[in-house]
Amino acid sequence: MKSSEMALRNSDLAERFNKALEKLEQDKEMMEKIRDRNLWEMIFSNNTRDLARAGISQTEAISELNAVVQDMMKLLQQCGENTASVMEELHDCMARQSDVNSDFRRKIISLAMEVLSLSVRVKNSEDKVADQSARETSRALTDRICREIDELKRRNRPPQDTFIGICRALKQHISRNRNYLNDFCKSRICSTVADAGFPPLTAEDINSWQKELAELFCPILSEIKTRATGKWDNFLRSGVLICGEVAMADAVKGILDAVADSEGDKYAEFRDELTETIGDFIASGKDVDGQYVPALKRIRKKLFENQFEIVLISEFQGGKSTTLDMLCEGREISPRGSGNIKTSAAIISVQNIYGDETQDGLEEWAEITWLDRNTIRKQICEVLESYDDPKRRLLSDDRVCTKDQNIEKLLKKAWAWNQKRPCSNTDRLDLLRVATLQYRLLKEKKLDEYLNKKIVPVDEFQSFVKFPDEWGPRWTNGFDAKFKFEEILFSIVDRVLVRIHSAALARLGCRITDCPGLFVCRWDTEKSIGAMEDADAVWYLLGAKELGKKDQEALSIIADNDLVDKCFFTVNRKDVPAQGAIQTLEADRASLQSWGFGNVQIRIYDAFKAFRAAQIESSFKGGLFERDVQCLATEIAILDANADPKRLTVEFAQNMKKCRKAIKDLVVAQAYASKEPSLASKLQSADDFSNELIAQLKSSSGIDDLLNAMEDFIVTKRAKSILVDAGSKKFLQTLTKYQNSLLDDERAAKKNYDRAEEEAKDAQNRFDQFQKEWKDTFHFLHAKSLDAGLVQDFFDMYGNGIRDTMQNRAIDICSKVWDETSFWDSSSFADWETEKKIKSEFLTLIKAKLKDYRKDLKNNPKFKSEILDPYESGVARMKQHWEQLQSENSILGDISIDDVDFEDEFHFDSFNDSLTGKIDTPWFSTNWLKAIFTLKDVKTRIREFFTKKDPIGAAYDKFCNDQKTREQFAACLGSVRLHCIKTLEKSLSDMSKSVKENIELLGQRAKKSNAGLTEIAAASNETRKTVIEPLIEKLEDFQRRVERQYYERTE
Amino acid sequence: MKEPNKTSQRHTKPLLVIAGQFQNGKSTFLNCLLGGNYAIEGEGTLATTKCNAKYVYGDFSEIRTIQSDKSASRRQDAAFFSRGASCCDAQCGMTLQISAYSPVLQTMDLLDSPGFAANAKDDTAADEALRMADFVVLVARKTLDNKSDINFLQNITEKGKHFTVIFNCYHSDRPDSAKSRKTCSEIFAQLKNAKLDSNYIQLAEDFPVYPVNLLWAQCALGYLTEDEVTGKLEAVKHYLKKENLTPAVLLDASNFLPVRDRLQNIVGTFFNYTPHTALNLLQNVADSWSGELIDIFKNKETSNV
Repeated sequence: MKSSEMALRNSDLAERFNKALEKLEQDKEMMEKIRDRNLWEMIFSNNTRDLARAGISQTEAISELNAVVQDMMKLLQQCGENTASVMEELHDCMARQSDVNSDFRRKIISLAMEVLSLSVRVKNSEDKVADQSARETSRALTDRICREIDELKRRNRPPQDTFIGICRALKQHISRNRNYLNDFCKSRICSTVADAGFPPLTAEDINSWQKELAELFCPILSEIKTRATGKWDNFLRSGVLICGEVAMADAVKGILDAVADSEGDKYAEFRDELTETIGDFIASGKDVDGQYVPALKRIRKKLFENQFEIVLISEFQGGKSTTLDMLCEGREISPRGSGNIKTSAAIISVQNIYGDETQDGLEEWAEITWLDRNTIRKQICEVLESYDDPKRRLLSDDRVCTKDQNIEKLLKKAWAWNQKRPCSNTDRLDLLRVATLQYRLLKEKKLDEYLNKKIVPVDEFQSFVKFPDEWGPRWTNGFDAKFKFEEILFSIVDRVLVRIHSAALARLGCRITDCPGLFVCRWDTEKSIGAMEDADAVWYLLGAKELGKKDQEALSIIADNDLVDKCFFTVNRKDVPAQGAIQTLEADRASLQSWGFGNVQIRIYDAFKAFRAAQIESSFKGGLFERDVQCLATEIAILDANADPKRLTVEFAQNMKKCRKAIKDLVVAQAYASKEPSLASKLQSADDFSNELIAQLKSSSGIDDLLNAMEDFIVTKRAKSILVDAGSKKFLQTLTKYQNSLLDDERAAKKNYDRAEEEAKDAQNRFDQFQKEWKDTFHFLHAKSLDAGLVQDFFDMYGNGIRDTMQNRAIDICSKVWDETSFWDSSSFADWETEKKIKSEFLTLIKAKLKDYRKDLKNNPKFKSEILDPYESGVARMKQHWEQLQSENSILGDISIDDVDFEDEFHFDSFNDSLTGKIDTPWFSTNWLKAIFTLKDVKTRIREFFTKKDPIGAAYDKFCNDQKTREQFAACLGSVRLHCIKTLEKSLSDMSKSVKENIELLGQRAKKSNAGLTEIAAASNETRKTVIEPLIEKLEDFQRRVERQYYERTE
Repeated sequence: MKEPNKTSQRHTKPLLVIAGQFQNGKSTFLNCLLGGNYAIEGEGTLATTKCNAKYVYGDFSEIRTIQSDKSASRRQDAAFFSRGASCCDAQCGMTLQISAYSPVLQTMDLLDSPGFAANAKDDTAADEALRMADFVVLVARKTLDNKSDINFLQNITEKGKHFTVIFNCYHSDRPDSAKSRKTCSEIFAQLKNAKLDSNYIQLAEDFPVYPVNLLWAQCALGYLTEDEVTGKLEAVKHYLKKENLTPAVLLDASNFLPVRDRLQNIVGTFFNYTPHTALNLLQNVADSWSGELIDIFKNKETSNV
């Protein structure tokens, strides 16, 4: 029976039903009596009146019966879940009325069943399926199952075969699509089965098929066993209890209910889907580098481990350890404090053992994770870092290698520092203490013995996880504080996982972790924060006091770890009256809301009472464990100075009743403190705990409500935490990472080519600029005026000399011609001859002079200043510039400037024939004749002629000023300049060619190396588009589905 | 009628400030000292005292509210009075001045400060209280925590004030039990390690930190109504395993009387009519200052006997 109210209503109905039936029977008897009256009686009785009375009475009884049945139906409608219990009452009631016609009994039952199934159908059809596609899928699914049911009907097999057949059909169609199994679908399947008119199943049948059913619905059944949900039991029991048999439709409904109710299986399905997806992805080998495989495997492992961890967080002495021990069925697993001093020094997790798993031959065990020597060293060095001298450093860089003597020196220094100064930072001191202890352990040889002790019996680990007694007072001697080896082992325990058998833990199905209290000292706080970072959810124990600043700080850490929506808040009310705790709750809710935790549910419970209730229950079941008895004795001895803990331990172990009495005393004291005098006095007056008393204690502790809420919380959060946060989200993250790396590959590949292109462009630009700049610089060489200047310079330099030489030579030539030829022969010939000779000599002379000029051109100041120097300095600068460019761009690296020095070009061999020209001598004949008639000495006249008339001078001037002559001269002298230009241009064009070649080469090379990268880029792109992106979409859809499954339910 | 001007006299009296985290039993301690139900006590959950409430000696009960700008107003209605310090939660920043007729107030003024670590506003009031204090009594319920208690005491020490710590035992614990002693020595070690012992005054040699059970004291002192006492007394009887519990026995068990006397003595002897700054001189007199002080008390007690 689910609730007392139901029970009341049921029994009330049963009573009424009973009475009505009794009355009906009486009336029936009465009528029969009237019918069977003998004559005497008939004469002396008013038969009609009696008959009428009996008839009226019977009608009344029937209408009352109808009313009862109607009420019963109403009740059935209201609480479909309690069908079995109602039916049970009905059945009992019927059984008492053994004489009532069995037809009538069956009729009533079938009527009730019909109403029930009708009400379920009505209710179910009202449930609208929101999602269109889900509705369609579910309809198709139902159609398929219904078709198979029809097929089974057609085959007409014995009921048990039919049932198994239906189950197989369900399994086949539902197992993969359980999400679509909605109420509408269920009711349709049930009604199809009902309509098919299969014969009913007997309880024996169902029992004998348990094994087969279990195989069919194995995961569901195991889940049901652990979660102890009532549906399956109801289904089995309902058949047995009502009439020893069950209609096929009900049996199917029971199965469907169980399937639909088995969150674990749905969960497993989600999980399998995700792990399959991950597995497929790994197997597909799309992960080129394989660097993501380990991460993915970790995700898969976590999914398979199915480990959900809730970490208990509160201020010190907030009741974390008591809560943990309460969940361990009242066993002293985590050391509980006496109420004022911190106790837990390490992270302790507890987890239920499913089945008969053992470890090292131990049925229950604790797995201790010790810090290894290197980590311990690192931790010590981290603490000592702030004490190290920055100049003369004692700590080595990698910390682990720091010498022992250095550590000791620093520790002593740190203690001296702390002892001298007013300690403004107690946090530092806390850490220093632990570091000191850790160092002591490091020096101990027997440490290794302990470090190898990884699995220990449950009773043995507690001494490693507790702060030593009188922790504070013993530190007054600083570095030399005295502690025993075993006492300080806590400082190197990382965490402890305790595996025990506990129904409460089995029910929650997760790992619960207890941490040291927050804010009592830095070391504890850091440990707790560390545990919080690893946890899937946080169980935050609010104190009975309203939330203060410290809580705000703790909650902000939770928020930082992204655990806001994974917080379960409870108030351990300790010795505070319920009313007070409720007041606090209101204030706390407001505070939490203002700190961004939304509108949270806060459950109140009393850890101490629940813990003690669990102990009492255990004491009745199989007695308390030895350690628990010891702890109890110690606790009593603390309160009672006269008590001897050893004696008490023996007494308690021998006599569980004494043990319970001691527990009772503790609970009474607490009940008084929490202002529950009625409970206190009730406990006080009782001799021993009765079931009722235990129930009362439990209900006062609020443990059942807490566990129910916790269970719901875990179902939802586990799905979110494992499937989404630790599963699909992490997978998504990994995929996104992979996607990004693929994108990077793609970009990098592209970038290589782009970079080469860019470099080439840069080289070309630089070269073009270089070319332009230097062409511009050497542009002065193109100026022809330079040549004209040189010609002028030549004439300036040699003009007079030539003129004089030629004049003398002309006289000599003329005289010679006069002597050699006859005057009369032919003046014209003589003229011609003379002229020819003079001309030839002149040209020879000019040529010779020009040759001289050119030979000495390098030393010619004009040439030097106007061409040579600018050119040479320009070339030097150009070479320098080029070197710089080469260093800036590798493409230009192997190109050098061709020789632009023009030493060789000063051989002017080609010049000799190139110079032409004439000295025009029109003056000969007339003047010549005149000379004859003057009768002067011919030679004198010749000399006079040449000196006075200066024909040579005139001819020379004419020659000099002749444009053609000058052009010729310029061409001759400009050849050097032109050669320079040519050399430069050739050099630049050669360079340009080389640059182009180099660029082309680079392009080819880049292309060649790019070919691989392009392939990678293409592959990356393809992987991204075809594998990753669809996978991401799939995962997002998965997340949505999980959320729909778990959140909409809770909302 | 002209009001008697008590201001000058008040200023010369030492001020004992009762501090501690919220819901540690400060108001209970104050009520026990005063021997009357003056301050509102919480249920151990919500912060009850919202502003500083100063208790001064007076022949009749009266409440003055002193605003932060020093303007004072007088009220004297019973309803307001009975609600005591919690009535003015809307007006933080002001100080309540409550006159009461209680022997303790003849030698000193008492100030009940709001518990710290509840919220920022309360801490401001606690700081303000500290500024005015001559001597501070910190009421603790468990070992001190680094976050608030130690910070607060460091603040006291920096300001050169002297203080003592009283450990308010769990309801069912005897102050002289091994458990309580353990907690007391742990608290003292915390003080020493935080270098706070220079300004710490040890009230008794055998208890480094003084343990009291305020619940028991409260029941024994007889200022509660009969209903309130009956409920609590049942529990106390259970704790003490005694049926015939006389107030004297309970008071003795609570360990409260010695602390009251010693506080009165200390504050009366060393702070009365002495500006608190003069204490710095005393501080330099000897390292074993508190030991000497205790000797004085002891002598005094034996002479009284």
